[in-house]
Amino acid sequence: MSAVAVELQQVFCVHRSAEGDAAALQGLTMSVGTGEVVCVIGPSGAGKSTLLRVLAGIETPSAGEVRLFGRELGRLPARLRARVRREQIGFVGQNWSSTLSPELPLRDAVSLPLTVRGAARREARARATALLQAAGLGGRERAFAAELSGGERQQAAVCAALAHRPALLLADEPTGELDRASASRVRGLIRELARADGATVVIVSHDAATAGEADRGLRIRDGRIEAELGPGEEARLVDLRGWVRLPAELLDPTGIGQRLRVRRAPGGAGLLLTGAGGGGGGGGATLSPELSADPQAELEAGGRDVSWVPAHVSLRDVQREYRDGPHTRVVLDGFSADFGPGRLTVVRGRSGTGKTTLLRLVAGLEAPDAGEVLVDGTAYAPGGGEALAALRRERIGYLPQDPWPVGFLSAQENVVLALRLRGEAPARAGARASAALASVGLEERAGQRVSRLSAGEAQRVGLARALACARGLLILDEPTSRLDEKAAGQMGELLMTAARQRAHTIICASHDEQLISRADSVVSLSG
Amino acid sequence: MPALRVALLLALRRARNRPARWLLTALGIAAATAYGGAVLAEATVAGDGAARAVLRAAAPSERVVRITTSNVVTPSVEQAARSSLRRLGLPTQTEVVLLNPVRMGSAIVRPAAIKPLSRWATPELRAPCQEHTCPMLALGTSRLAKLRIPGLRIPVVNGAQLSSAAPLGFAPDAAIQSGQAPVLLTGDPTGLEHASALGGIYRTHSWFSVLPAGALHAWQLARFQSQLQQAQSDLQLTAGGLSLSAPFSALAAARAQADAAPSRLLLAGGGAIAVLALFLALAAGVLRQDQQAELERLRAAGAVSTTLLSFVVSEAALACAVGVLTGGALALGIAALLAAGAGLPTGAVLAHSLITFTGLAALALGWLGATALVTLLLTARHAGLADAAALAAVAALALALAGGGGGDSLTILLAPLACLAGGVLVARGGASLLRAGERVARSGPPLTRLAFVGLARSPLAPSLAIAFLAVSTAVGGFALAYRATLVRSAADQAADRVPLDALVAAGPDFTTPLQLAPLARWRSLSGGAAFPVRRTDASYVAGGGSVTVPALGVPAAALPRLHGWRSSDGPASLTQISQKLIPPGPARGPGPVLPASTRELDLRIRAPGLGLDLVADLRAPNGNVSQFPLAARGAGWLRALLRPGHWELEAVELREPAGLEVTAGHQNGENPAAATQSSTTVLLTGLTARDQRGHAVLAIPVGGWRAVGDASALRSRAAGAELRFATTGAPGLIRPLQPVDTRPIPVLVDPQTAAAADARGRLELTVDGAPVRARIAAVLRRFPTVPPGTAGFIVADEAELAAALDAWLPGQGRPDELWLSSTRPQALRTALLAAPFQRLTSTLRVDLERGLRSAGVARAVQGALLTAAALSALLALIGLLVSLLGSTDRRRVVDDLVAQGVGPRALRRELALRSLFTGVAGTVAGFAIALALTRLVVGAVRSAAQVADPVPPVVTITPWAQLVLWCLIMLGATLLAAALGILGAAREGRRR
Repeated sequence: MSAVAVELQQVFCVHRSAEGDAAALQGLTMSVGTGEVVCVIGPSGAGKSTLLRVLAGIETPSAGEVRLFGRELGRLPARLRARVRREQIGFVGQNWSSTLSPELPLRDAVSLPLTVRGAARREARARATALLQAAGLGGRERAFAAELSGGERQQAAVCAALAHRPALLLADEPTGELDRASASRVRGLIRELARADGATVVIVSHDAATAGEADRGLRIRDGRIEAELGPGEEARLVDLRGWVRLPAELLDPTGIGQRLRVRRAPGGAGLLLTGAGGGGGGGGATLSPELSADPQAELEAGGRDVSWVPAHVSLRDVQREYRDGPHTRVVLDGFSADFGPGRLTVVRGRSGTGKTTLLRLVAGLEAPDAGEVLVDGTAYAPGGGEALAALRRERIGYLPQDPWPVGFLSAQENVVLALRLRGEAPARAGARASAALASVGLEERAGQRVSRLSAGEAQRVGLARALACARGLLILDEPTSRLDEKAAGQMGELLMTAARQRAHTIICASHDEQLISRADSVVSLSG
Repeated sequence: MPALRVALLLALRRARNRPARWLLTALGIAAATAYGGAVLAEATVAGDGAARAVLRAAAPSERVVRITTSNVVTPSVEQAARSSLRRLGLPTQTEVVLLNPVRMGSAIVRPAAIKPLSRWATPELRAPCQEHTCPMLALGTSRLAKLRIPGLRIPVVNGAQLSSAAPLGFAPDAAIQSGQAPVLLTGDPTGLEHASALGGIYRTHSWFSVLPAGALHAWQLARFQSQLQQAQSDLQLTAGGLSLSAPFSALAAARAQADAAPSRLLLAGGGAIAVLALFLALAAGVLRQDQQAELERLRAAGAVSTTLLSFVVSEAALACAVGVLTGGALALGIAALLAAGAGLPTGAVLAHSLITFTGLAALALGWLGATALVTLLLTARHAGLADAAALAAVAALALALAGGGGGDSLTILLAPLACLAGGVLVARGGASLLRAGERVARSGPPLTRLAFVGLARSPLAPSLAIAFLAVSTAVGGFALAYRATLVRSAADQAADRVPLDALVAAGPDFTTPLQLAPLARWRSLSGGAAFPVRRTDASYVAGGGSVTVPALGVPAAALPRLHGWRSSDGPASLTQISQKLIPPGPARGPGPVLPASTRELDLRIRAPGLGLDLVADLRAPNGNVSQFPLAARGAGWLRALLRPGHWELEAVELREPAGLEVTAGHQNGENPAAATQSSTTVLLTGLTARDQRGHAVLAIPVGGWRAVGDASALRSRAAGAELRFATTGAPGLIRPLQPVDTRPIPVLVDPQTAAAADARGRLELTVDGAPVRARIAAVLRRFPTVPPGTAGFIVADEAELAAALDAWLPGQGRPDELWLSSTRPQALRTALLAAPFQRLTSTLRVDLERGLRSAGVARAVQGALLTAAALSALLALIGLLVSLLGSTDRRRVVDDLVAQGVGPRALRRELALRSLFTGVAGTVAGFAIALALTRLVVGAVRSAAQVADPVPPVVTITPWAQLVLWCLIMLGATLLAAALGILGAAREGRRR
């Protein structure tokens, strides 16, 4: 590895709130070489975003050292940290809007980092034009972000982040909201542009594909780097004090419980780990907030009397178009499909092809311009706001694309509210909400306000709520967009179980291959 | 500079892409600017109104600009005088020549010339004045038929009336009544000047113009004063001895009103603008939310704090500029409307209020200030500044209240500032209130709980909305309390000056109401009661000196009808007090009633060593006392010839002969220590009433009569009386016994006068020179119509006081004014304005009250406060809607709830619940602040009053019903706004 660009030693970061303190980073140690492209992957709530905020100097660590190009960042005053950020760091967020101003045409938005640093206007525009051309957006310099597709926006955001040739590019889930092709293009662009300028890149993601395209991959969990991803086997990392994190999937098969015995291996080449009693098996402790393999059982444990009518959903010659000033964009044109009970249907397609529109039509949140949406053979009445709301309450569990439930309520309160709106008694709603949150691995965060959860955790709250509330029809918009690979796989299993065992009609918009591979049917939209 | 360029570019782009994001901020600033501009314009209008009211209150004779000379008038002198007036903008001129009194035959007259005469006198006189014959009109009399002096004959062609005192500088009628020479009038000054027979008489020659009451506007006063002073200086330098006199004091008073009015109004307006500025906190909160993402992006792009600040400042400055310019334009429109409404030239009002250097500078400063404030609000990380401002305002409020509610003009500013402090306190305490609401709603239905949890856990916007609503309610409440107190104060002041419905007093010619019409006619005119009132002075000895106080004779029956009486003014109710004032028996004992056939009175007199003038005082049935001289008919035999009528003999007066009286008076004046110059013993006998044929119809024994004044009884004789007469300059009197001779009259007095009484509550008074024994019936703190600043007052029953005065000088007890209680004030007003009553000074209480209530400054302050209340209420409702509906978080919550199956009805209920809670909290808090602020109302009303200390003192009026109604209106408006918001949200939902 070349000279060290980024170095973190035993970094702790504690977030304090009225509902309790949460340690986002717990002794995180890592380093990145100059010019290296490193991807940090991990499940939601693992501390990925906090890591980036600490690296950017936006957040100061509670303990530990953060060095950027040899300078101790954590001890610098805010003014100097801002200066480091300004001079050496570029940032790409999960959503383009965190980097790219929607108010400016692309050329100005991309050149903004240069102009705020005092670059001449012509020079800044030239650089922006060059970057946009390199990103395949040549000729769109005068367009506004709103006129681009999701992938194009994110590409433009990468251009903006690199416009001032930062020494360090930080990217937070830059492909989280993109379809596979767009995500690949964005990843390629980051690598290409960063290499061209010799920038060091730290990307955090839950997407293993991102790690695959990086020089090096690190796995973060519970606020620590636990492993370095290799082509075959992950290398467990030992921190300076000798701590090693062993995940449940390693320990469970060995029968090692809560205690283990460590001996030097014969010949001195390595260590031998054996169980030392005290709990036995791997089932005693929850090592990570993973989805329960059998959430339905937990739902049953909530004591609900499960009785609902399976839902048959049909769309007949549905047309939906959006008007934006003089322009009209047809999203669905004569679309017809059937969704039956006990089936998991995944709707796939590029960004902007109408996946979300289709789901909103089925949920009765939008009305088609032409055609019909029918549930059990009955068409939605036009303008039937109350009737459609009643339908959603009585039949549908819905997870929107923007997965944020009510921010000022806790995770538990959100699920309880949804259940009580459906007529559950307070006590029973509380029990069922606890079970639903446990099923998505959030039992420990149930009392935390949603606004203080990470994006992935918020999505899991939404998922728990949708699962708890569904009565025959479950509509999920990108349910795995913020989940890591393993959790996404478990989500797929969970939905399959819900469809098969509970006869739910599940319609799910996603470009996640794990989910698509488990689907009973796939509807592809091409726009 | 690059930072500024980027910031400006971004701000402009944002403005172009979505100008609505500035809407609330710009709206608040536009409202404040428009309001401030309107206040400025109204201040000019009100100042002008106040100044013109002062000038209007001055009689034409007091508004005269006159250039006078007593030298010989040459054409150049006249030219100088006239052009001086013209340069002052006074082209309509009158020329006057007034000579000193001159004896013409048996009469002493005062010749004068006025040109043009027809403008001032009726009837017209066209004949010119020639050297030897000068036809003239006689003012106030027509008895002067032929007047002649060597070389000049003055035929008096007619009697005439002068319409104003302006030409001569005095009212000739009054002059004649006071014994001065009658004025003869010609319309030919040149002719009079050339009448050589009058050449030696001293005279003044003047040219004058009357300032039209409405011609001078407030903004012209300073210049006009300066022009007058310049003209005065210039004339002193010219030949001809010209001097200029002008209503300098009236102009100064008008200017003082004009200058004071804007400052008072601007204090009220400025305070209200400070309250409106609170709206900016709300508006800036919305803009701040919108800016955060942009700032985050800028930070991510590497912007330094200078760039970030530049961006915030740029956006604030642009939004404020839009607001200020819009508000400025609105202010111009409103100012034009105000000017048109007041009948003033729009251009002039604008040029002297808004389109001035001060106005434009205020606009620029307002823009800078608003930009600074919005920037501060957008960048502030904590509310320390607001807390400090609130604490300062609370401290100022506490100081003012400790000082008794204040009274200076700063009090007007203090009230809105206290509103501001209250608003900050409410905003800071709002979070606790919202948390309490959440606890109460914990066991409620899910959406109820959601509504309260939402308010409690995102308390900033709702707290601000509650605070602003509270402040708006409080400003409105304060305005209502101000109005109620002002109305009450105006009513009390009017009632203090006119205790019943109308007060009619003698006019400039001293004619009293009862001289023009009997009491019955007045009762008929008013349609109610008419009470004769005697107004004079009384003095008493206290602390080794003499104290003079106003003395009123008011019929006891009038007291229960007094308006504006406060329980604190006296120890009991007016009815009870009036009972105490009623004498135990008749006020006056009747004298001998002469038979209707009586035509003369005979009397025998013996007064050795001193010739005496005797007069019989006879009272007519209407109460008027007439004097009939007893002329010598033979040795020791006097006779008075009477007019036919029903007479009652009141008294017989004994006086020194006129010549001796003048001499004695002169000697007494030279040597006050001298007492009596002469005395004698007088024997009066044989007082007999006789008919036309000389037959005795009634013998009147005077033996038991009482002698007072210069006369004192020695002994009674059969049918006669022996008196001692000692001259002191006052008349002696012999009359029948009167009740006041034996008992003191009951009086109402102020505490200071009461302190001068003896242990039994008796006071020895001198009223109109007559000794009057009084007994204090009650002590009052105040009595209407007593002028402020006097040493006290004495009030007696009118009949009792009249009897006491008549007992010493018959006729002296005549009432000189009337207090009327009317059931038809409009008809009464019409009658009083018509002949012959227009000669009197009449005041109707309703007119006074209306005038006081609509006094320019007070009305304008009231208008400013009410407008501020309405405006802030409107903005509060907009702010409430925005805070409840407009935030991104709110839209996200609504989207989520809709996705969870919450229907439109339930969403409406939830929003209505939030609005209701916020509205109730804001309104209740506002009600509490308003109640606290009523303590400042008295100071505010006093500050805005045209007089320093209104009489009676202003008292706080808390208009409970109006306050409650206002709160209900605010609450209703809140719910209405919520309903509109719900409709808007539903429409947006359908669009999405």
